Order: sequence, then structure tokens, then C-alpha cells
Amino acid sequence: MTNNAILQIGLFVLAILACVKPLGLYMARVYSGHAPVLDRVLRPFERLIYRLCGVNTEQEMGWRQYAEAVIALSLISCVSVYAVERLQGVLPLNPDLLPAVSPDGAFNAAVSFASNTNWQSYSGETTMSYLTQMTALTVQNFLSAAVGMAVLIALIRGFTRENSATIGNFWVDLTRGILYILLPLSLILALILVSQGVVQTLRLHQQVALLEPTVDNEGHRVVTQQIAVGPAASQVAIKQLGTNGGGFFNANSSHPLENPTPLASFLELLAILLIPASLCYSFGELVGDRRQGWALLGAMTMVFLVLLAVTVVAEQRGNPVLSQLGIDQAASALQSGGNMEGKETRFGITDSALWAVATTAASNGSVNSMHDCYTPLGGLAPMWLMQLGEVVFGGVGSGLYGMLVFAIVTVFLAGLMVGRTPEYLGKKIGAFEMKMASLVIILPCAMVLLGTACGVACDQGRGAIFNPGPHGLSEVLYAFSSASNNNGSAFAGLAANSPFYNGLLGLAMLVGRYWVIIPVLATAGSLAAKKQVASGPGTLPTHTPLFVILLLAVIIVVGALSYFPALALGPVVEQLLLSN
Amino acid sequence: MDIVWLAGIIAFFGVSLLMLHLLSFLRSED
Repeated sequence: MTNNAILQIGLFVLAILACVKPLGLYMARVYSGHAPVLDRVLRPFERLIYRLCGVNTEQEMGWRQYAEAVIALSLISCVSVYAVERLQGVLPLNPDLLPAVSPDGAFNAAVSFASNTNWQSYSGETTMSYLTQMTALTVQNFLSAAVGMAVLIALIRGFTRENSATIGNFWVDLTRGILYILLPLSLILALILVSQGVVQTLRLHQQVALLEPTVDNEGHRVVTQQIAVGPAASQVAIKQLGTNGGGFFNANSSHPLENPTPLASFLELLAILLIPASLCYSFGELVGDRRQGWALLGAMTMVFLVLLAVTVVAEQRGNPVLSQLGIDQAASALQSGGNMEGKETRFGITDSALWAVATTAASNGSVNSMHDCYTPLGGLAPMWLMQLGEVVFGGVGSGLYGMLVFAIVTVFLAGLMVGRTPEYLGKKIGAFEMKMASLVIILPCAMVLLGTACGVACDQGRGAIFNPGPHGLSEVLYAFSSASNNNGSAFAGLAANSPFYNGLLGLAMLVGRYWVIIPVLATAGSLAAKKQVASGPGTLPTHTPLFVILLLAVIIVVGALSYFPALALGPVVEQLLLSN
Repeated sequence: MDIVWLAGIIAFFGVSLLMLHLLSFLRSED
């Protein structure tokens, strides 16, 4: 690893850690009902929203009612986004006169944005009108992120409440998450991005003169080029903060109008992990023991740094085949060195690898380099981060509730070892919680493996793979790992915009999102109904380094056992083939 | 074709509601 890489990674981690406490504390206050400073300004709007929507803020919900509200909102979200996409040809704010999105493409994108995945099988600037981008996709970026945070807060209430039949009011949690957290942060970030050159306009595509005229395939001289523009900054800000990841442009965050300067790149990268990391502190604050939040944040950071090091080192070492040919791939004053295929020269190895690991750790999915072009080992780390269940930071809310499920499994296993009833944060963990935890872990995993099996077993699936052999398997495995764990990044190298993949990946996104949320809320309801027990000599402390190590072991063993055979057939065998 | 994809979305959330009630039943059994 170069000194430059160590400096950049160190700065990034320090910047994240510096934001964790203030933002985490602020978010904990927001969900406790008091938003510092913004209360005075936004409280009237909040009351107005409740009045218009007929929400009774005093009425709390049981876990079933809470889950029904999540399902109702998500159903309406999917159907409304689908309708806007299909009708965009006759709707306003479509200066490029784009036609309706195809039915299977509309289904995939609707499900993708409602489930906080933002998998994109389409090219944004040539498929979606400005109206679709603004009113369908960007709105879902806010809603789906706020749903994830609301479910997390409901689970935290399950730990903090005693003998309670309720876990909060979903509509209040949703509104407060958007109004006091996502909207202010997005507004600030969008304004900074505009100042850096991220485009924000409703004008038609721009026709500009080429600096170097060229000729097309038929020999005609080409002197101008159309440059796509649009309301990008407002979408980019929330796509990063809400761990959505869906780019306004097809090239996503490698596009110069979406990520134009070093400062824009750093802030967008920071925004990916900002809320997921800070929510750990909010968790500690809300359960009344900040050490619990730091322990989970420590576990996430350790996995993140190890897999980041693997990716940076693998990419910096370069392609083994080129090394065997005697090509110099070492970093020097004249070249960045390493494997630069699929990477922008302005980002280089470190920024590209850091973004790839952050975006897959955080269930974000935006990319500034093409993961398909990474070395097999460098591509394995981002893929495995998704396969771990998106619990290393993960999506906003969803990452931490996934991590809390792993914490429940860890205390259960520790309880089995010493023969005592497991407990976490003063709540006894029973058979029901373990059944729910099993569902949360198994369902996305099953979707990844069964989906990949379908992809490589069917003619339609195989026909979409661009590369033969193990790399082709990696392309399909990555796609289903991304969809089932609601990440949304694409490995590339797979023609996924077909009814086969749009349908199958859409189903994977739905199962990976909602069939995880339902058991998590069931766990919240079950825990809230229990009484708090005082910790005794047989209680496993859950804020110590020992617990962090146990937790990491459980996450890695589950991830390794579930995916090792598939990874062995894909990136592992490909790395061995390249090395020999 | 729109009917097919919309029916798919509605069917998924319908099954999700069933799952919710199934888990609720499972909890009461426990």
C-alpha cells in the first residue's frame, strides 16, 4: 500500500469518526421527539403533514400494525413509480421526448428504488424523463431511506421498552426521519455539490462543439456532441446520504457532471457512510449505554478496514498476467501503477478501491469505477461485503438492524457455550427471536444462491453473460448478491436489461428487503413485550472487545460458510488461473 | 403486459401480509 493510500484512507476514516458523535446524538434526539435547532423551524410543517395525512401522533402501533404500514407504503411506492415510468411519454418535464419505460424495466426500477436498492438496468439520461427522476426516483430515495431508519428505531424501542404492546408510530418515525435528518443534510450537500459543478437544471441536453472533431463509423465528420444535463445535484445528494446509489447518469459517480472535483468526490464518499456509522452512536444513546454503539461501530470498522486493505493491495499490485509479461505496474512519479482498467485516472487506485469498498459495505451501490475490471481478489472483497448481509455499516437503518440480528445470534451462541439463557441489553433471547434471526439471515442468502443458479442454468441467463468461465459466474453472482442484499451496484459485464433478469432481480430485491423487515419488526414486538432483566454474573457483557471478536466470528463464519463454494467457483478460481 | 407486472407487485405484498400473520401466529404459539 502506498503512503498516499494510507494518508487518504486515514483522513477518510478520521472524518467519518469525527461526525459520528454529533450526528448520532442529533438523530437520537430527533427520534426521541426533540430535534435541536430545527424544531422551531420545521415543527409547523411536521404538524401540517400529520393533519393533512390524518395521522394521530398519540396512537402507537404494535409490530403487526407497524409492519402493515411499511407494506402499505411500499406497495403504493412501487405502483406509483411504475405508473410514472410508464406514462412519462405523455407527462410534462420531458424535454428530450423520452418514450415510456418498458414494462419489465419499469417493474425493476420501481421495485429497485422503493426497496432502497437502486439497481439500474437502464441508462438514466436516455431512459428517465426529468419528471420521473424527480418525482418518482428521488422521492423514493428519501422514503426508502426513512423506512430503513424507522424500522431500526422500532427495533431499538423493542430493547428499551418493557411489557409494552407497541413499538412506536411508523408514520411519525418516517416523517421525522425525512424532515429533520434526510432533507436538511441533502439540502446542504446538494448546494455544495452545485458549487463544485454538479449539474442542476431543467434545460434540454446541451449541444457543444467538439475540441477535436472526429469521424463516425460511416466516415461522416462529427463536430458537435450532445451532453446530457438535468436536475442531478438534488438526486446525487440523497442517493449518497440515503445509501440509495442510483445515479442520475449511467456512468454514476464516475461521470464528471455527477462527481466533478476532489472535494465533491470526498464529500460524496463521506456521505455514503455518514448516517450508517452515526446511527451506531444513536443506538448507544437510545439504549442508555453508548459503549454498546461503539462496540458495534468497532466491529463494522474492523471488517471494513481489512477488506479495504485487501482491495487496495490487490489493485495496486496489478494484473498478474501483465506482471508475467514483464510490464512495470509499480507506482511511481510517472504512473499510478496497479490495475487501472475500468478506473478513472483522476481517482486512481486508492479512491476507486475506497469507493468500491464503501459503496458495497454501506448498501449504497453508486460506483466511480467498474467493478467488473477489478482483479479477481479486488472484486471479491466488495462482493463478499454485500454477501455478509450488508451489516458492515450497511444501508441507513437496515445495516444496523442487520447487525443487531447478528448480535442476537452471537449472544445465543455464547449462551449455549456456558449453558445460560442468552440475553442482550437486558432482554432474554428466546426461541422466537432466534427463528426470526434465522429468517433474516437465510432469506437473502437463499435468494442470492438460487437466483445465481437460475441465471447460469437458463439459456436467457447465460446468454446475457459477456465473459466465459469463472468471471462470467462472478458477474451473475455479483448481480444477485447486489439485488438480494439491496446494494444496487453492478459488476457490469451482464446484459441485465431483459425481462428475465429484470423480473428475477426484482423479486430478489423485494425478498431481500421486505421479508427481512417483517421478521425484524416481529423481533421488535416480541422484545418490547418482555420485561427487562438486571445483568448478573452469568450475563455476557456486550460492549467488550471479547464480544466484538465473537460477533465478527459469527458474521464471518456465516458469510464464509454460505458463500465459499460459490466464491470458490468464481473469483477464487479466477485469481488462481491468473496467478498460474 | 402492465397487468402482469403490477399483479406481480401486488401478489408479492399480499404474500408478505400472509407472512406477517403467519409470524404473528408463530409468536402466539411460542
